[in-house]
Amino acid sequence: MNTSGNAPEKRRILFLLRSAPYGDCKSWEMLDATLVAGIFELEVAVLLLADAVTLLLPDQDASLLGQRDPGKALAALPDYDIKQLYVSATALAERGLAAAKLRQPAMALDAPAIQALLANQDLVLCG
Amino acid sequence: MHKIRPLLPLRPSGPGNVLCMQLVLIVHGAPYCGQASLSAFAFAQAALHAGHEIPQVFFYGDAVHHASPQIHPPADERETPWPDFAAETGIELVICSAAAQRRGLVQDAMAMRQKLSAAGPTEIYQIGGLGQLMGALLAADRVLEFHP
Repeated sequence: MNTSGNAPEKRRILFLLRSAPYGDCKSWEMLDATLVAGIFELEVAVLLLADAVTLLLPDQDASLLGQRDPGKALAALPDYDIKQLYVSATALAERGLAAAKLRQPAMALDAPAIQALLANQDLVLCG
Repeated sequence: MHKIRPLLPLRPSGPGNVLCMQLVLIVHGAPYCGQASLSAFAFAQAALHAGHEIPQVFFYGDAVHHASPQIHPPADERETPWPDFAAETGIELVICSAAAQRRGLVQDAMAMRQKLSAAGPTEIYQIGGLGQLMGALLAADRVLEFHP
């Protein structure tokens, strides 16, 4: 699951998000931390579980709620050299969503793949 | 206010203790609301007692309310034990500046910090950025999170 392969000296850190985007500020605060981690010598990955997969629904207009769209932080991941964005295939299926129709590319993982991803981290931070 | 019960005696750690680890704790829950803060505290006590070291406890999200000088819990609730614990152990308590700004706490927390600095050399709660957390994570053996 370590996609960099050639940078084994970096610590691997996974940010695990579980919440829907607009009910609280957890998504923002976790993604703030994610982007900061991107500045450090860390190999950063993001995994969206449960309602957090709705961060990747297309055509969101957070301004209708008077909020900011935390998905913008996800869109900024490549700018911080964060290439690993994963979603739970189960969470997508439970919500009738298709990985191909998300607002940005994310790798859908089944439960065993998520287990392997988690086992491969040095550090998992949970939001 | 109930008196805080005496802390467990600390066992010195050192090269002889092969299990000594550097532990960083992240608290996500507000004080007096849920178990996050006190679970983290109980863990910190036990970890130090077992010979581990805790260079930093990071207060993120609603946990930044720990630094509010305006909190006055009901008389039958125990006061948050973190300030006394930090003064005794030298553990660094860091309040996330971004989360504190969102919750209108930064001025208060800064004032509190200045007041405490004037009173003694120990700064109870520091204002720090997420970068400070990342630095601590990089140096830690284990990181533990305490959610509400």
